[in-house]
Amino acid sequence: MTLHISSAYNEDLIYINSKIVEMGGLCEQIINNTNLSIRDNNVQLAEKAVLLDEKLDFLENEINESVIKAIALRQPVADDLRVLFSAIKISGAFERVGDLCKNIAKRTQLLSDEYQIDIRREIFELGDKVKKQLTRSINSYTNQDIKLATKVWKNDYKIDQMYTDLFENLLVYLKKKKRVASGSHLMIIAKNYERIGDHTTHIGEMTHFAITGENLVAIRPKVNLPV
Amino acid sequence: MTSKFRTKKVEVSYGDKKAIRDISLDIEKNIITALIGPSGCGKSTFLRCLNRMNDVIENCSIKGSIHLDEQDIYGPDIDPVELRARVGMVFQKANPFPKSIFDNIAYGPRIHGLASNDSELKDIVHNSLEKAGLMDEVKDRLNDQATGLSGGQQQRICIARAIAVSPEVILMDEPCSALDPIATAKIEELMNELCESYTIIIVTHSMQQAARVSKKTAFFHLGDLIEYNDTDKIFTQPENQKTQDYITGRFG
Ligand SMILES: Nc1ncnc2c1ncn2[C@@H]1O[C@H](COP(=O)(O)OP(=O)(O)O)[C@@H](O)[C@H]1O
Ligand SMILES: [Mg+2]
Repeated sequence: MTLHISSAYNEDLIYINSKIVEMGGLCEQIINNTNLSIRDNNVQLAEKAVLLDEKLDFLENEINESVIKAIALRQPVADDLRVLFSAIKISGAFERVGDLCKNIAKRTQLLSDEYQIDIRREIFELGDKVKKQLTRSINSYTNQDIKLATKVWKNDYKIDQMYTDLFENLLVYLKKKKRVASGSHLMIIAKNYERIGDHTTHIGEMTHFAITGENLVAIRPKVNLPV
Repeated sequence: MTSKFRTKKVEVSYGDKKAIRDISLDIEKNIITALIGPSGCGKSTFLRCLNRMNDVIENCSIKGSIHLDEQDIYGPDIDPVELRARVGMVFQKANPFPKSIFDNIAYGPRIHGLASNDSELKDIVHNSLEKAGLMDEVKDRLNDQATGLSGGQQQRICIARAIAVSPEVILMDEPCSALDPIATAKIEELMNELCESYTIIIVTHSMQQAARVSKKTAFFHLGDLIEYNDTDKIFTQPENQKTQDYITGRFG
């Protein structure tokens, strides 16, 4: 990549990129803590997730400010414009991932012990699937890998599928156990994971757009979600 | 699309130094086309080919062909002076004649015999000033010296002067480079209005100006035409690496 004549512009772009990579790293940590807090019923990890979310909010803000400054000063075009536009979208997606993880983590603390290993395990598996997908999207961004970005985007239906199955199982479980409060939390947790999957897909889309200028649209395999 | 200009393998040399080579370009009618590229890449040279302004430059030679509508503008039956009325030009530095505002605009119609009496001439002048968005500003001082106007107004006088001879095409060579942002915005707004009636080709160093005003953009580099495409495409997703490097400020 040829550098800009303006060294300050180069520095701004490098800075923005490094902040996105940093957000990506934090997102991997937060989802990992969240997942394990569910599997192991671990309150400390849940609390850690809540703290990480604050960092993500802060970083998103920093990225927004830097991008606004770059747009105002440089009036970017072509790949610069695409990179800066996707920086806003991707950091926004990371911020949402953080929020949703925090929400999941908070709810795990409210689950009664009634919900033991088996159902936690099932939710953990959904979380783990989402985590892997998130890692791929982060890698696609970090390595500027169009193929991987496209793969992430195509694979979202697998998470949707898993969510749909889990939802059915939760219904059965709920009816049997008659624990409405905990059961509702579990439903929302599952839904939040499904949403994280959507944001992950968006990160893939935006990475693809930043590199190629092409929008990945329409013909993505889709699962009709129950809700 | 309807082409206004069609250039084929145009090559221009000053002495034995080639300034542009192999420029084949179809310029669409009634839109604004922007020519961009680093200084010295041949934008002005190319622009001057389109109304044969290069003819007056010593040891400037041109090869290839240029058609305006279906007519070869370097053909034997073409009178360069008439051609320049059909293809008007506005320069970087506003160059009104040291005459009154009225006489500046009336100059072209007079020498081309476009008005048969004073009232017709007056109509042409008023009309041109109107179209150039200047009438309200100068209507009470048509007999004042044009050189006393502001830079932006002088540039619009030059546009009105070009319009006065009913051209089909207006060539503009960096028309805003000496103007402040407000005067620039006025010229850009004017260009947008004018392109309904005229084909406009503008050379500009401002990427943002090219992006704002033009529908098509041609990028020149070292005498070659590197990329010619819809402006939207050039500024969001250029095909050529050189285009991208230039418009994003990556090489000088
Ligand atoms: N009248 C001239 N005599 C000799 N060389 C010229 C003349 N005009 C332009 N050139 C040369 O031709 C090349 C293209 O110049 P020009 O068309 O003015 O470029 P641009 O408008 O893109 O800055 C340059 O190398 C320039 O030095
Ligand atoms: Mg020039």
